[in-house]
Amino acid sequence: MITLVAALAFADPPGVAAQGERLAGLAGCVACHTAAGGEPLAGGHRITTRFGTFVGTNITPDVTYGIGSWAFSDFKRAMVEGRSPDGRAYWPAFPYEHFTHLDDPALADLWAWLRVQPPVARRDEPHEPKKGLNTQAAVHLWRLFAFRKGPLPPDEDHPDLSRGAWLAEGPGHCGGCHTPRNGVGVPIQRRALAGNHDPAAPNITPHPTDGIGAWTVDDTLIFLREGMLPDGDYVGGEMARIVTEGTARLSDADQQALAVWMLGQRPVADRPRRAPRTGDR
Amino acid sequence: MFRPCAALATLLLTATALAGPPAAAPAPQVPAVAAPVPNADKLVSYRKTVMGSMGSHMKAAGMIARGDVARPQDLPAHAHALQAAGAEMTALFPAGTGSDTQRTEAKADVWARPAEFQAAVAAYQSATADLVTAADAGDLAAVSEALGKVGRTCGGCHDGFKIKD
Repeated sequence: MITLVAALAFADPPGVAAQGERLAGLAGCVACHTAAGGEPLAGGHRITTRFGTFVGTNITPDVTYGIGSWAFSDFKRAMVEGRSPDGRAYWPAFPYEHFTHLDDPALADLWAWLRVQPPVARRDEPHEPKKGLNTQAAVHLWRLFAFRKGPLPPDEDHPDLSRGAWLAEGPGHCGGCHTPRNGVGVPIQRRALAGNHDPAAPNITPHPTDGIGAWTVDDTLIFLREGMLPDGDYVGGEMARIVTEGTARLSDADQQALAVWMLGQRPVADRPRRAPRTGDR
Repeated sequence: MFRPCAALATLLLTATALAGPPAAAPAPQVPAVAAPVPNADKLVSYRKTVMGSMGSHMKAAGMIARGDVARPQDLPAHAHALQAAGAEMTALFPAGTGSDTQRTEAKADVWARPAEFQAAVAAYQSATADLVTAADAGDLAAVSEALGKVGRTCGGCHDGFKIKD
């Protein structure tokens, strides 16, 4: 009887794996946790930043090399607190400052999907932070400025944009690539979504000349569904994958919410360039 | 009446006339690697125009495939135009038309990584061949799918070979 109660208490929460798969596509789990040519979610993808190179971990249900021994509470701690089961803070190459906004049903769906993925026995490679940075203190300093645990604060001025905001700021973590960061890796929120160099990601604020200000909702929906830009060009590279595996698979209502939210953000102009480019524009 | 300005102007004009033609400006530095292409700027302009037309055909074909406009009879023309642009693609990128010497978004990688560039061109050519088949058959669903594949080859090539802002 006690065993039954204990088993129920520690049972995984009811999540829908198919829903989790959609969230995972939007969050890009496979992209960051899969090596080039490697088994899905088994780790090895290298993310090179000015703070060092960080290597995606094995998040398959393998008991020895993956997260097969984790409970849901461990997964939730990782996503919402950015901490490992033994309490260490994760490097923010894992964008938990965004995933912290995921609520329990979303986390349950993701967990349900993760648990049924094929286990792969692949050992994690160590991260390679730059000399002098390989301390928890460095991570905690970043967290002090850049990490606010918990749900997304509601936008009281625009309650109708809340679903789009959740999709973009939570699993979508658009700002993770598109918001520029300062010298210590903290996103510059007053230039949110105005573009970044490392990685190279364009200005997607609705600025009329420097961003997507000339786009209609239809243009934006076509982009989210097909990756096509209003001039008939298409995105490539990482963003193409985010479209085909992520935004293209959202429901129509979610795509609409995301499109309207994007066009409703604050337009931010590009910074003036320091040196003229030979190329166009 | 002595007019200093007029006198000065006359003096300068006379001095200039007597001095002969100005010495030739020093020859511009030509990069050691690329031989100058005659009318490189015109070719770059043409290339941009062709690329723009490809974007327009993609967009137009997409509108038909999506049902925004009821013009399925126009699909073959768009598809064939896209295929034809692919046939001339390599010829649009002679050495000397990169961003180091021209106002273009073609990265040096086009010429530094020729095998990968050719692979990207080949991917586009293959995808547009499938698009032509679908368009000629009037199969809107197949056209949709084929358009997506073509678009991914556009993005795939640009990701490696076109300057991003």
